[in-house]
Amino acid sequence: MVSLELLREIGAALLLITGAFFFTAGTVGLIRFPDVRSRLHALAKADTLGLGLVLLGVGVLLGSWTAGVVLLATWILALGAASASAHVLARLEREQREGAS
Amino acid sequence: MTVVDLALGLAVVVTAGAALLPRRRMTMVMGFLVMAVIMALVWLRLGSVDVALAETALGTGLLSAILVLLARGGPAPQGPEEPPRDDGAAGRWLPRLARAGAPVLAWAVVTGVFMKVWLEVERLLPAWEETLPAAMGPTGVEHEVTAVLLTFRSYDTLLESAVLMLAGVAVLAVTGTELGGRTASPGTTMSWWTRVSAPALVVVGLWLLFAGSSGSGGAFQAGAVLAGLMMLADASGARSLPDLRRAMPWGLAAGVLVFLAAAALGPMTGRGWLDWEPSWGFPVILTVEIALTVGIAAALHLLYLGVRARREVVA
Repeated sequence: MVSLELLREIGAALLLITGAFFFTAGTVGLIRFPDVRSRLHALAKADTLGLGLVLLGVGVLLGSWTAGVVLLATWILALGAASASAHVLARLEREQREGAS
Repeated sequence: MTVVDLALGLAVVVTAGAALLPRRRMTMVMGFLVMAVIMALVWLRLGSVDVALAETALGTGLLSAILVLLARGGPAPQGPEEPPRDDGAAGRWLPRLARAGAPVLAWAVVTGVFMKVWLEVERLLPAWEETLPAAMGPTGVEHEVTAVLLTFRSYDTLLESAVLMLAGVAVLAVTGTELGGRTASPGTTMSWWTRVSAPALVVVGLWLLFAGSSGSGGAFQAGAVLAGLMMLADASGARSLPDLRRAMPWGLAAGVLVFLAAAALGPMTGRGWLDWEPSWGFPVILTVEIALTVGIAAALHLLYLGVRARREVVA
């Protein structure tokens, strides 16, 4: 008899593993991609999705609404920070390239 | 779990080497920052959640900004130029694997540390409520936070805040007039985001101040978060935020002065130094904590401003 508790833990583990996979993909992209913009793309998109999945998994594992709200706030802040910093870096890259050419 | 402890101890030694041995400053800084993350994990293994939190906020958060600024300002590397990257050669899979694997491992460690810190905080917060009442008897105070901050380690806290104040004064003395410039704005997106996230950071800082798991740790961690907020505002060139630089010397002095005034309350009412009516405990402690947070935030922000002063400033 599969209990509800076990199902929840399996679901949380799946979310955590998927999140870790996206993190790994983003990191590989950061290392392997040729230019600044592709690297930013890998970081800002894959890592943020990975973080969201990991936080969701942690929330399911903790099973508390308070923790869930805090984790959601964490993810929203991380989303904004990732987008803003990626934008600043892309802007700097454009200025440097235009300055060089 | 001794295997984990042994691995952690070994990792501290290895990262200490990585922080001291390389020739390039940036590499040394990176080694030091990884060591700070591992030290946070070590503190956690020792059961000191407060120290782990402070280590994460100060050691990895604030120090990283200051050290990276310093490393960028340093002279060019003395050693031979790095050989150009060789992508074509087959059979060099080991270095390439290491190059790809090391950052993955580093990120795994960082993520693990942060997750562990937060999960342990959830679990260990009430721990001090058991041991502290047992030790409260001979102290003559009723409030636990009072006991920790001003009976068990009052001189420690006072001298720590004084050391930070002196560091801030030294920065003011060295770079006094150069602090005035504003950073060029890196674009509207970042200043917009700074304005949006600033209230959240203020709430986090105040939460650490008022609801931190121990009295003294609260002020230091809250100060670190608020200093980080000011650093972010400065770096984003957010012009609608008030210019806090003129207030820095006052904030710097406030922490230690209020603490000393609170300490003098004891002799004024016929008690010992740093010892006052137990019934006054809560308001006095709250006042000291708020002033300490302001002082710590000002000192940490001044350290950042002093490092940044000579560069990147648009008059």
